[in-house]
Amino acid sequence: MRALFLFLLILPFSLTAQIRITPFGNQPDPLRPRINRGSDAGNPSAVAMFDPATGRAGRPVDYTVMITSNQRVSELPSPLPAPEGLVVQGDMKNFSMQITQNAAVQVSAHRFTIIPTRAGEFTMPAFEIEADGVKIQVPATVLVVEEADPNQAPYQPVRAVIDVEDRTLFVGETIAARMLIFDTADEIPQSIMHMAKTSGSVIFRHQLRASRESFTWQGKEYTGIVMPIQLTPLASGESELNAQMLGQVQKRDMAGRGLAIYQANIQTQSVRIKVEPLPPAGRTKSFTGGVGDFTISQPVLSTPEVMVGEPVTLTVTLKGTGNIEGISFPEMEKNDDWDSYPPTSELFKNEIELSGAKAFTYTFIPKHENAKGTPSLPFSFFDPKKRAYVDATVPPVPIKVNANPALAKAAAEDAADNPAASETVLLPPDPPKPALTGLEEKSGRWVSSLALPFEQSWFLMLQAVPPLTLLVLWAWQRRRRYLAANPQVLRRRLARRAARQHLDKARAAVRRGDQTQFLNEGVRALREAVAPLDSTLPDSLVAEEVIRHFQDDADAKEAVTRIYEAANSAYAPVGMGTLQPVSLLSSLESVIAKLNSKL
Amino acid sequence: MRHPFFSWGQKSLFYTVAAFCMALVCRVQAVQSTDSDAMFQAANDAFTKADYGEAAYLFRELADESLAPGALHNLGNVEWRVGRPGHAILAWERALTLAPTNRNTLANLRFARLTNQLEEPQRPWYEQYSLWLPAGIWIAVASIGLWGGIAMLCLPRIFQRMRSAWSQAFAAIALTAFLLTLPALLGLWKRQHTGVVVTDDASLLLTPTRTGEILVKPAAGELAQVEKVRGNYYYVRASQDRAGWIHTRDFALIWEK
Repeated sequence: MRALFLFLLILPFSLTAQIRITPFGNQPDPLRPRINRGSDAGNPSAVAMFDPATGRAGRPVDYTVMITSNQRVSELPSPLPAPEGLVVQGDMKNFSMQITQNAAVQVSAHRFTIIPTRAGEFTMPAFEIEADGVKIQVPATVLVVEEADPNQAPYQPVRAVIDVEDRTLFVGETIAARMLIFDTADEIPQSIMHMAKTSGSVIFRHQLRASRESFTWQGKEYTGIVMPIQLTPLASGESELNAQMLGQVQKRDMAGRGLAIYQANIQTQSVRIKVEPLPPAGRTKSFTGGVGDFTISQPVLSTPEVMVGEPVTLTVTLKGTGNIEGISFPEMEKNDDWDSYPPTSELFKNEIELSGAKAFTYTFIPKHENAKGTPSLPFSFFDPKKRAYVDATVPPVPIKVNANPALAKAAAEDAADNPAASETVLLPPDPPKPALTGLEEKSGRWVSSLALPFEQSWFLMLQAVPPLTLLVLWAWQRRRRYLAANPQVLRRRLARRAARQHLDKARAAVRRGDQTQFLNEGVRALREAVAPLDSTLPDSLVAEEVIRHFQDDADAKEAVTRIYEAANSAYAPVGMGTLQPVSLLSSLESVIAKLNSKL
Repeated sequence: MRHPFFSWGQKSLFYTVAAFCMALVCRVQAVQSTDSDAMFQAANDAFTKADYGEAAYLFRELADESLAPGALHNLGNVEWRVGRPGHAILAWERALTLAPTNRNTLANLRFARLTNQLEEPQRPWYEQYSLWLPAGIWIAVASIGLWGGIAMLCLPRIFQRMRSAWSQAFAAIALTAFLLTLPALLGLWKRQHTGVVVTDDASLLLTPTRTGEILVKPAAGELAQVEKVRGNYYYVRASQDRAGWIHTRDFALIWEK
């Protein structure tokens, strides 16, 4: 059951692989290329074919010659020996490598576009070419051409128009326009190589940087090439514009496939424009030919203050849309306050863009210090939208003019020497140019490095010294004040220190066997330790006053009693032999420790 | 009469130690400066005899050991003579850090920039202000002003005494002096990242790599601010916001680390 299921699943695929479906039954496909091979006996060889093999009158077909050889074949006989009735255009070459029988061979393909002018059967005859140094035969190829279909549209070559704004233009006005080259069902424009010729009383500016894109023209969408242009009418009246271009065009066959690319002359349709002269009313001397929409930026002085006889520049920038390239600023007329030079200009604008800026720089020289501002600069232009002249005169710019002492002195001297030339204005002398100074004779103070101390550790440590010093002083003073307010703290500390010292001496006396010294130091240690508790001097303390601090401690009381008795008996020889300083030392240490804990 | 803060013995010890340290430092400096002065004189003599190669060698040796405004000024003159304008401007800028009002050095910088068509550096006001005095003076005045003012305010309180008029006046003056030094310190902080393009074929690169795309070629002697450092490259910003990476062999900081 499973095997039957698998068989049924595989059956359709196996049948599809074996049956070749041909829509024309046993008849050959008229659109299938008819390939005629040349010599098959080894390399090199050539084949030729029409694609499609059956065409229609007036419709292009592709004719391809392919040569297989070891070296490229880049030239074919020119023109091809085509029979009467076939027009040959273009020769699109393509070279590639192929591996055949384990060897790499060069395939040179030459594509031509053939346009049959009538119906019939045409044979492209065989012709000889040279490949790898030997002559080979390109075989003859047959093209069957049928009558043109009366229902089909006639052949449509590419067409082009100049798209201009539909309004009345003015002489000298620069407007933006477009050159549109449309795709058709039979041809596709690829690029524009050269603007051959234009006609009409206009200056025609264009840029060959055209692009293929979709665009709208007269309310419909098209695809093709759009090339921006600029037009400047030169004469008034009606004018007819057209242009011729040299471009690359690709033809399409009946199936809409692209054929060979060839160079074609493209002629635009004529377009009429109406141009009016600039109105004389309102035109002044300040009008220098500017037509468009412009603004003038704030004028910029090179310096706000100048001396008599020194030059100062004033820069005025004109911005806007129009024939900005051709505009000039008027030269200054003679002025009592200022000498002036013709302005220089600098254009800031792309070649094909309509808007831009132009900077005019005037150079003025004040004649005397009474001049309060630069001269005004009269300027006007014609605005096509307002259909009127616009006054854009630059007003005077305030500037301070100072007297020039050097100039005045020179003028005075000159006047004294030559009274006739006293009115001559002298230019100020050039300022002295700087020069290299001499060597320094003294080195100055030596340093080891130029580095700033900000990031160095010694600098940070040095900066920490003052606050630390202040902190230490503050702590020290605080401690001093505490001890002054609590004198018992210091007294007890001194008592502990004195008791410890006397105890150490008593221990030393024991080690030496000096009984008298031991007893004296022991008593002193007891007195020093007890003195702060009694608020009295140590030497004034007697045994009872010491014992009073050990009322509840019988051992300590006994030890103190024994030490004092022994010390008193030291002055009486009786009983001295029974005294054991070593046993008393441990008692003394114990009592001193107890007293220290009370301090 | 007992001193209110320190005993006589403590004072004597302090003064003795301080005097000894001062004497030691002066002695070491005197030995060093004697050697440097001799070399400085030899370099000046070579320059006077138009032996610029020898003078350049001696001044560079000297600059490697120790620095002085006169020596740096003369080093700049020698570098200019031997055709190294970038190094000349660097030396003069360094001389100005030690003696910012030296008119000869300022004149030489003007001359070099005019000759090489370099822009005068446009410094903000606080950097201009910091040029009035050498950096060491600014820092010393700031330190003394700050800590002196704080000490004058704190010491009477620590010792539980009334603040006298003179101590309050000193504190006010000291703290004012400190406040006046703040813009200069900011200027010094900014200026310490300034450097000079020293070679003629230096390039500002897009990336800090040997094969980085060249953005612009600054002229030798141009000043620029260092913003970043990566390996052997500085990211610098020159006038008119021209910025890019430059190799350390083509650029030297004025306030060397």
